[in-house]
Amino acid sequence: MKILDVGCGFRKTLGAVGIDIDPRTNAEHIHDLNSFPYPFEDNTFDEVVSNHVLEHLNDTVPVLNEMHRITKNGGKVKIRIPHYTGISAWGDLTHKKTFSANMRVYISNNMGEKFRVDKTSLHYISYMDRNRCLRNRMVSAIIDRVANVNIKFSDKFLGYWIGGFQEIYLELIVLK
Amino acid sequence: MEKIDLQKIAQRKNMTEITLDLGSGPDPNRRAGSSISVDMDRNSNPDIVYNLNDYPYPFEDSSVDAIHMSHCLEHLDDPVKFLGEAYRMLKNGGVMLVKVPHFSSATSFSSLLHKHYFGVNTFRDQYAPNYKFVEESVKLHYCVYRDTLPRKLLDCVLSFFANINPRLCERLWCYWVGGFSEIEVVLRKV
Repeated sequence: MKILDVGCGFRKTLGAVGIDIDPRTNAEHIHDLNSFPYPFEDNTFDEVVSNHVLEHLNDTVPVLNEMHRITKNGGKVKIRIPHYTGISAWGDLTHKKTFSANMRVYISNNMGEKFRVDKTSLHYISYMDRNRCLRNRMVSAIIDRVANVNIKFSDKFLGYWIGGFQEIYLELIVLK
Repeated sequence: MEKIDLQKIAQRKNMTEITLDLGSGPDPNRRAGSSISVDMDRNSNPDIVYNLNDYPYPFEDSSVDAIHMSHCLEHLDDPVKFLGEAYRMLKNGGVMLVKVPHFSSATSFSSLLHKHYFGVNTFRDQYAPNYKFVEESVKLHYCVYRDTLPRKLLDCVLSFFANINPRLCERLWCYWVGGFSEIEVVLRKV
């Protein structure tokens, strides 16, 4: 299975090919993700992963289109991005934007012919820290379970009551 | 580009240390006391008229004792570039006081001129290769302008609890009180 990690940084997904702008990272391809096209043929990958990258880029839709182009039919695009209520949203000077879980509605309404939204979930603690200690694991297990019963409610209300979610996880199926 | 002689301006203003107030704004009462003001707006009568989006700034390396920047960083195009430039201008051991809006408050998103949003941890994670500041302190404020008694009281009480642990406040309860308006960070060049 061919996996691509878009904006892999220093924590590249296991078994994946990496693409990143920073030559210090262990990415195989050094490329500015704001410039298109990316250096891959159409239908190259079975899976495209992107962890906390879209918020650093100028525009989101062209990136999703590019991910669609390089992924095979039926392949998966797995995206992690900061939620607008959480501390990871603006905890970094190089972030240009944040997201709400409602973007799944945008994707199915406006990019429905390219992607099917398979999974969406909100996470109180981001994937980097979730398994760091027992406390984090327990807190995120409890809050995430409650939050994801009704994502729409959590996106709009619950986020503000608990100090914000750190992460949105989106899984998209590529349709061609 | 011609460098500006800060020493000369400081002597004229009877200042012993060189403090820059960057983005000083139109209201003289809200400027840092005893400082050289820099602003792009000629009408606000700063000591130096300069657009802070033009790099490099016309000041020598290691020529400034302190930098004061209140509610200006969120208006600049590239804060990472700015921090690099501030690092260059500051003397060793020099401090920079930065006040910016906190992302939890409406003030952060109500101005159309804001380009960046900040959290308590924004200045802690420094990946940029061109500067390395040490974060001396970080504080939250409930009100930006503490000029009337109710505002003073509110700020006093809420900011006290927030600053017991600003990171916990941001993580858990900043939204319960409608968001904190201001983060005050002190960075030191070492």
